Amino acid sequence: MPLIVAEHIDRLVCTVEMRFRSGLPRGVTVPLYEAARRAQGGQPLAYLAATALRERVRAESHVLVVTGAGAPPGLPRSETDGPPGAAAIARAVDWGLGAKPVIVTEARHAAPIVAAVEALGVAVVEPEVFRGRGHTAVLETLPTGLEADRIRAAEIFERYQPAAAVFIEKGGPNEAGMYHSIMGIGRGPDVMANAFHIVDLSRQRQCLTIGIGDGGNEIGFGMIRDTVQEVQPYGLRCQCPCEKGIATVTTTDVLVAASISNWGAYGISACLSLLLNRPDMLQTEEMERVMLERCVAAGGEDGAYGAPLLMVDGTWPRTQEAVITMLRNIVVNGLTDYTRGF
Amino acid sequence: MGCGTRSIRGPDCSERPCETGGGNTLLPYENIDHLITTEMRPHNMVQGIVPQLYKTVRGTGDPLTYRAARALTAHPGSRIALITGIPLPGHLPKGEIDGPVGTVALARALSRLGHHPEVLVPDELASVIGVMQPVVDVSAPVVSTTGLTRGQVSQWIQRYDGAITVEKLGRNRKGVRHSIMGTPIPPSDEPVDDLVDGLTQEGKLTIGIGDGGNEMGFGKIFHLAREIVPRGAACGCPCADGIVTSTATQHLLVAAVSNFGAYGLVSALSVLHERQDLLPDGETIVRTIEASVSEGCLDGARVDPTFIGDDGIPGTAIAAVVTLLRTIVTQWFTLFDRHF
Repeated sequence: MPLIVAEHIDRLVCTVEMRFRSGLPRGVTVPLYEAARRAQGGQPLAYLAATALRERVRAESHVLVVTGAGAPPGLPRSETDGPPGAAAIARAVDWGLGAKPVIVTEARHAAPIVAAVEALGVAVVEPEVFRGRGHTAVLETLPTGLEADRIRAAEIFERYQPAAAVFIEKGGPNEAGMYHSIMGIGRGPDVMANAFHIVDLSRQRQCLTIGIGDGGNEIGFGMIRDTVQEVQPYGLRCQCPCEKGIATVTTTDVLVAASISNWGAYGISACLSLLLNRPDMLQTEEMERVMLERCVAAGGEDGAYGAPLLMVDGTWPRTQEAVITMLRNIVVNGLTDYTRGF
Repeated sequence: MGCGTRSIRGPDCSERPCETGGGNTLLPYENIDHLITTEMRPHNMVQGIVPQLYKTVRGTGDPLTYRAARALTAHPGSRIALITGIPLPGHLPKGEIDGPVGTVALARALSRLGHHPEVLVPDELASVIGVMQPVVDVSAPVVSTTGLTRGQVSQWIQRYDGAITVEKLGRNRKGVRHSIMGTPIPPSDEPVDDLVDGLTQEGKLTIGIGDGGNEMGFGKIFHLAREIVPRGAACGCPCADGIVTSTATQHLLVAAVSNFGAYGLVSALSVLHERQDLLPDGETIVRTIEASVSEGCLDGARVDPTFIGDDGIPGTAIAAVVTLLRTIVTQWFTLFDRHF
């Protein structure tokens, strides 16, 4: 039964694309999703991520939640796709699994991410408070720069011994070590956090890795790099001098290819709600709205318009709320029996 | 039509390619199809079959909402019979919400596109249609199917240019109509299947919208549907012929809830005709449901006059589906010049 319900969670968050008409690629969501499903044995993707988290994360385990997309001048303080998804994962980790989320990002992206996480009922606090109580998270920043980030990633592993690391809309390097926007604009490892070091360490330390993205340039998509190169207009060749395309080489244990990265995270949270029989765990529509408002107030900007709008990838707040409403209903009805006489 | 060239926002895109994604102008229909086949039913109702039914009908062809919308567009100014409504004495005396709400949404859209829709329902449903129509600002003629005669059927096959059936139970090979749970439902408008069959045989446009295999249209995939649908080949009632109907339509639109199929078809027409005024917003659809309940129509899963919803799905989630459909349509026509 959970699989039937999970099928529809995927259908909603991974196969309904809502991008507007501009230079932004359209028609890529379903091919990426289908490739990701094939590469992982065919089960619904959000379900795969949720079951892996449930198996690997114990109460009081640490889970790294890594997000933050964009760079100056386009998106200096993160875009709105990423932080809300990270908040949903942090909420599921804390409120659902009783574990402890550690938020990881560039310092410049911290404010909108903290605002989003706190809107979903997880306070981002000092280490002593974090150790002393639940419904909290701590913030760790990556300084950017290849060597500096390698050292910091090792420190983070030393400090937390994480059971899992979840990457939401987090850029991954291509084969030339360059990071790219979906339109193929390149940025170097001194500008972007090199979060792939966390993936490398996870592999050595038996830490579960989950990548959530919507384009193919995000950590995790190394799993289906061929498809990214094939379907993304700048997949094979970017607009930057590296000419190696936007497809990342970084691979995670589980990849969730979604229509909008936040929605992929919401889908995972919905699947966990179902598996844990906790329909209240996924955020409410009101929390969703407040989260988006606070995220934008803290500097987050819509990634599609490149402006401080109450939008995610160019879709409205009511669109986000509608997705939450449907997910909550899928979970509640998935856990409910009605009897009628005919 | 199709890709569309009109801008509703932002600078014009004359110096940029209008389309990405390989110029696939069927993308919005693909997204509409995915959304309306997302199941949210209570889990002891039949669950998990919609994607299989959808896949079976779809094959390797175009999205189903696109096929139906294009077929309608190929017949401008048509007199179209919108057929719905299954009253069930003792349980659903004035029918269920699934069917009628989608029907009036279609009536609104078709009227605005210059067609001449008429709503064909049993007498019990007439007042329900009557109170819903003004909520979505439409006033299509309501025609009774109660006591339908074979003579009338012959006349109507000539009168109508086509028909759309929405959650209208169809008969199986033994002439029996069933609920999704296999209960035989006595018809008050027995030969209405003949009307649909007759129109189809005359080469007129017929579209069946359903969610379970027991509704008119599924005869198009009769044998496969009998395999996919629980009780499809064995209803458990004395007729022993299963719940899948043998009544076929030219086009079959499968949705998670039949009304979603109707909303999806209206959305597809919106894209095809570049008209964003065809589908009412989610709140208006919920008000339409409220109006139907005030007149005695009931949710088919909950059968509870205090429940405002459709197939056990509450009104908030129904409104959410409509909101997302409207987002898909609007986004398709939104132009913006992004440089990074």
